[in-house]
Amino acid sequence: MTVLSPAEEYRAALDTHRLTFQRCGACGHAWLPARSECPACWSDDLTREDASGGGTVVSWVVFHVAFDERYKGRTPYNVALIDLDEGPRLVTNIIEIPAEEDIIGRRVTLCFQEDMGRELLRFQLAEDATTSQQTD
Amino acid sequence: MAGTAVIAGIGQTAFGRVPDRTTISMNIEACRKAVSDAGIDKDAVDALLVKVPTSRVEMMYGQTLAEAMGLEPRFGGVFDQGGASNISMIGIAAMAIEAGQCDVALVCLADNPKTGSRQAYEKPWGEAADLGWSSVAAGYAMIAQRYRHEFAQAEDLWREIAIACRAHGAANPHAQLRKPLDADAYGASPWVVEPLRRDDCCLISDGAAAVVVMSETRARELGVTAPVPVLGFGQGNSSSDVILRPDLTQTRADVSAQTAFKMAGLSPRDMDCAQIYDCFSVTVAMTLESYGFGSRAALVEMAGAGGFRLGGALPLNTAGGLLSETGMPGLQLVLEGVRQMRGTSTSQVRDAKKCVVSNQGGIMHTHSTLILGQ
Repeated sequence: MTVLSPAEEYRAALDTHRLTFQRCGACGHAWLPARSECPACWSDDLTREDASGGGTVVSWVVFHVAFDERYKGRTPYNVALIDLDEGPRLVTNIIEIPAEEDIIGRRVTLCFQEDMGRELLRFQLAEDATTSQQTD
Repeated sequence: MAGTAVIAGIGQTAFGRVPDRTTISMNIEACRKAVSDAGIDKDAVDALLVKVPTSRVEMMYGQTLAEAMGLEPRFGGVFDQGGASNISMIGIAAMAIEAGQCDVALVCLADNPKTGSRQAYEKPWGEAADLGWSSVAAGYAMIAQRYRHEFAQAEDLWREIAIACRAHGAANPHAQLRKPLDADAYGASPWVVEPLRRDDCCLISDGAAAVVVMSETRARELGVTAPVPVLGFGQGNSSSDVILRPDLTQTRADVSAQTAFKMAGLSPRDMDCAQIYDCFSVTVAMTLESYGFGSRAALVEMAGAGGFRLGGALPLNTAGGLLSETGMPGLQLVLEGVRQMRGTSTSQVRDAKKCVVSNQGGIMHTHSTLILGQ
């Protein structure tokens, strides 16, 4: 049986529409991206958990230049940072951002889209526009 | 050891498009000029510290350069912190000299992303590459968006920083971009990665710079005519990827500055001018705040009163900075600090006696601070 690296395990879960993160068995710290040791206490006693799919926008940008050839013809497009409710942070795209709106602090929910030949992790703004307390 | 090391000489190549030259060739030109400026012989040099180029990263670059220069350094090599390496290597040279490890050090940088590869600045980032997450500019834009969310007058501050740097670059005959900027032109500047406009982003440049570091005593013995004392230095490293920082608008520039100011026995209010790493305008805003030059509100007020221009409270990047002189990662700011202390800048600050210089690397992963005097 092939032993998957932490990054390969993460990717394999995404391919089945599961967003996962790691948690340390020694200190309880939770994080992304995948690692082989806990960045808080250096323990290698790690478990993998499923994220609930809820999160909050930390920041976002809009690309007007495509540095990546594959995104030529797709500008403008956004890339956003999300704090998952469980703590770990990740990079994603928001499926639609209303013009002229500052979405920092907005609640988001996970969805998957088939793109670039794989199942890509994306989020959409939640119906409820309540700003979460932790990013105020 | 405050005041025991000096910058004895400075040298640079042309900036901008410098085709058909290797980084080795440009490093040697800058070093030749720095040694000549110090008025010393090549044989006096016994240490060589160099920042690795972004356009082509290779192992043992320091030794390749030493071979090409016919040097067998007692002390030397590459120190990799991205742009912060320059000032960090000046600090390392000063400590090595103090510890008797070497006597006369060359610290240099050459790069050619304009005519060579700019992959280091445009590359896609890790697992998120398929989402279109790429480029250094986008990392800084992520910081800038958060900064703008926290501070309503952010764009007023970024604009004044860019205008000041461009005005000083316009007055510098060696600057790559000599076109001044006004508020209307800034407002019309196209987005690169929103909220960063083209005029918030530094140039892409070829070129090289070098400095000679030695002790004050050695400078006297060798008859160096215009030594500039190194009063303090320090560094601080956020290290983590920008996306993982708990607070996107804070870095460890504060630790770097505190270390340097403490070593110098000085405070921000003692500075007559500042050469602040301006890879993006937001970087300058954050650095000045971290250094203790004032709150965001105080900085925007200072900027609005012309405080960053010649004649203002804190003339900024008086040779044009990365936004106007050359986008090269950082050593040119040290050269301008030296010129200010010698009284030879093209935008000379009257009676300037102290200057702070910042360097940083990555997407604010690393930071290094230098305080120069007379």
